[in-house]
Amino acid sequence: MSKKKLCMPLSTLLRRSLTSFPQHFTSNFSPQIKLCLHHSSPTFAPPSHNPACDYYYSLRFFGKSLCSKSAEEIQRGCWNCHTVPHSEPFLVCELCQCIQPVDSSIDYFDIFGVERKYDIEGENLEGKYKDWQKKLHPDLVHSKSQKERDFAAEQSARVIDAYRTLSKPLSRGIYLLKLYGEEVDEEQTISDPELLAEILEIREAVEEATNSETLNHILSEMQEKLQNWSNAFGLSFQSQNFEEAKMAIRRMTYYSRVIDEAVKKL
Amino acid sequence: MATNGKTPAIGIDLGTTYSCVAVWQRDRVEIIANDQGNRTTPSYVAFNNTQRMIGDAAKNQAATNPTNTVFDAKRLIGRRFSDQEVQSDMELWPFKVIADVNGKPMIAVDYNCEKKQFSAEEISSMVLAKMLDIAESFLGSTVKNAVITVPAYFNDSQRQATKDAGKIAGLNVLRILHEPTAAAIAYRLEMKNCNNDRRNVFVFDLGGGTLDVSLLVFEKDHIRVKATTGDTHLGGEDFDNNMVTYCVKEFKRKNKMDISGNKRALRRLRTACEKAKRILSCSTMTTIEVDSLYDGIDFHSSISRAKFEELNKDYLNKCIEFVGKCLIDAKMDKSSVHDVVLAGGSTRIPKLQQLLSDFFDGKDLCKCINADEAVAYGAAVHAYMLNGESSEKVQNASLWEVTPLSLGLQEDGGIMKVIIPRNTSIPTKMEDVLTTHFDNQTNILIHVYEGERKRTRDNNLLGKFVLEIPPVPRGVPQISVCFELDYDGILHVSAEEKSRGISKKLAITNDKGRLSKKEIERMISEAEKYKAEDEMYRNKVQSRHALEKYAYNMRDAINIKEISLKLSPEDKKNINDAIDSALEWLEVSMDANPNDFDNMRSTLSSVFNPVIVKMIKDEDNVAPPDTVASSGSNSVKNGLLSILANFALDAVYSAATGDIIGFASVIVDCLSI
Repeated sequence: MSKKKLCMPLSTLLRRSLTSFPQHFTSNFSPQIKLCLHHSSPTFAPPSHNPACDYYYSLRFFGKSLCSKSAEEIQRGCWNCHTVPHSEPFLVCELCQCIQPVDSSIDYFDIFGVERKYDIEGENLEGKYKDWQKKLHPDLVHSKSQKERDFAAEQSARVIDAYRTLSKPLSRGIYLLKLYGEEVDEEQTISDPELLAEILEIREAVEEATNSETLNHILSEMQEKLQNWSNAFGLSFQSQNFEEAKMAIRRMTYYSRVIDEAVKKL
Repeated sequence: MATNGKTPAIGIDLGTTYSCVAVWQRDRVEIIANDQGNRTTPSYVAFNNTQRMIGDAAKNQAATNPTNTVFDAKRLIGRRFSDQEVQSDMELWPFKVIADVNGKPMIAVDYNCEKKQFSAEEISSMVLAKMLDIAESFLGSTVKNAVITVPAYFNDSQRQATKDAGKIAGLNVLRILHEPTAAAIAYRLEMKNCNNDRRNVFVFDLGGGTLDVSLLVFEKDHIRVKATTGDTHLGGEDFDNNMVTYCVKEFKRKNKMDISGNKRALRRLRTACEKAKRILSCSTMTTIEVDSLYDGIDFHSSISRAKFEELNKDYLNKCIEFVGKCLIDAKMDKSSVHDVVLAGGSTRIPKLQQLLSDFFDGKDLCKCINADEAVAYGAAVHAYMLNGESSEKVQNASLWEVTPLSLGLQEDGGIMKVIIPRNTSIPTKMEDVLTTHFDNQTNILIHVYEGERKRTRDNNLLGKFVLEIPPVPRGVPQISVCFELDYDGILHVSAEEKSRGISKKLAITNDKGRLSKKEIERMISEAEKYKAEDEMYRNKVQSRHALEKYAYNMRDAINIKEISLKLSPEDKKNINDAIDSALEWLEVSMDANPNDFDNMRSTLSSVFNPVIVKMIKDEDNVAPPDTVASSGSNSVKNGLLSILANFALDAVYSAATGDIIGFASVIVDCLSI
């Protein structure tokens, strides 16, 4: 008897909610039309888009609150105008252009809108990096409040670090492992005598090289080895074999350092 | 928040030898001329028994007061006394540099009959304050905000010290801006085809004391620095030094006398060499002449452009080496460079331009911007933008800078571990995790270094601090060290032991001469005191001048025929005696204070006023009772007053307040009859 009572009010509530949506949409649409009549500027956004977005987001938001009732998510929005963000990641408010505080749950792959994976060579990281800098650069907010300037400095530094990290295979690999909770100890002592011997031999060759031809030869060899171990990392990471992935990172680190030294000597 | 009547922000190029100030006004940059009418001001400060001088006045008296005339503060700022550059420069400087207890170089001078010591920050702040005065005079309002330029290759200590100098001068430093970037901003504004796509611009900036080379990319809405390098101790002054050395040898060869120990002679010789260097930029031959250089002997020597180039070929070639390094760092081939822009006065040297053009396979160099003013010009544009203003012409391009030097920690064995590599975009923030090497270690000593050498002892120590940690087995602690480089290129370091949340912000210690907050506050109040002393000196000079002018006005007045005929010989003698007495007193009272001058003027007035009043009164008494005679008498009286009023007008024009009061009192006395 009591269970039936509980069931009936819930059904009624759901039915009412469903029927109220069209009305809400209609009431939203009318004010937008009026606004359109008053704004003669051609740059004014088409009225049909905003209400639709608002409507759909309201639905999603409503659903979320029913499921999780998370206060934090409910309060998410711009610190300045409290607008709920339309697009991810939320570094700048699209409406009032205010820069938001750093949200550490947004990772570097999120910032560039790329999938969290090792092989992202085709992605236009530089273009996206520049797009972010055009919105976050400290020069653009120098006359704003100290709060916003601090946000700009932090966000800008983070985007710079993200670009630097993801644009090179070695640092990208280390970062990926970190996201999966696997820390690479870069200072771990070499235990593989074969690798140790190889590294010593290569370093001697670099030091003894007297002309650019020899150095370039060593350089191309090292770059080939680096690429091979990069591929090996990709495979082992993909198959979640983190121990092999870490070993590949160590190999890449040594070859990367030799390459740097050879370039300096050129 | 924007306010009405916002004060403008200025751009200051604080140079080793010359400084320049500019402001964006009425849709263009105004380079502001100083009180001598010069658009650049010598970066000189001089002291003597009565006053402090800055700029042209300081440089003009350098030959007669060499030990108390300070220049090259930019080559001292942010450096240690023990630095090799400081030690070698000290041999060339006529002023004395000593070390304080922390090894910080201090400049010792005689000022107001006292021994004084100044830091390079204080000297630079005096130059900055002079540039600020110049700007405020031009703008007619107080100025607070400024962008100050520094060489791109300045290290952290040099940047921080420059910022401190701005603070001591009373400025709010909006940005420490790189000189080649400022020149690039100036160039971008001058470009005809500024709507083009990406453009690779190479900036070569050689000033009086520093060299910067930078590769920048111009895009539609920003300027991006790809790489920068240089030498903070290479510039036009080094060319001058070589010429001075050559002339000293020449004088010794001709006259068998060594003048290298005579500071006065060297100062005059240096000035002549600098002048010759400039002439050789547009002539192939000139002479260096100094009358009575030493022991009554004249110095006279011809020097050709080829000779100048031979004397300085090592320095000239060194400049070009940096060009190659910069392109390698930027990973760009020289054929990809679209424009080569020159900035800094020393880029006018023909040989240097030829070497640079040859390096870029005969490319024409861009000389459309004034080399001496380009940096201040760009700083003014950026100051305008940072001040929250916008203009269609300025384009509001943001600057994407890089750090010129690597930053890192000292590892075991004194090895440099790089945390932030050079040419990393700023602002930037990077972390590294350290651990202990011994069981039960209770603290970790962290040394922060800057530079490109593998061993830390060859790099620049920025600071050190100790982090206390609980004793645990080695390798267990996880200490996270965070390097944060702000947009002025100044480093902030913090460290945290992760497991227990122990953290410590690095206040980089004073062990290498960085100014503490208290020291800066003391220097600010001292700067205000010196400014007040300057004001007192200026008031004294004005009072003296006012008295002198008053005395001569009195003499001129009583020599006018209309007045002279009405004065008795006795009265004339009394007034002339008073005037002579006052003028004689002026000759022997150089050090009198303003009150003394005012008292003397009162004394003159007490002799002059009764005679004039009596003269006017006598005219009234002489008038007969009939109408015609009375009218005539009034006419004469009015004429006399009119004559006296002319002198009052002269006083007005001379802007000497005392004069106005002096003559006004006479007129008031007469009118009260």
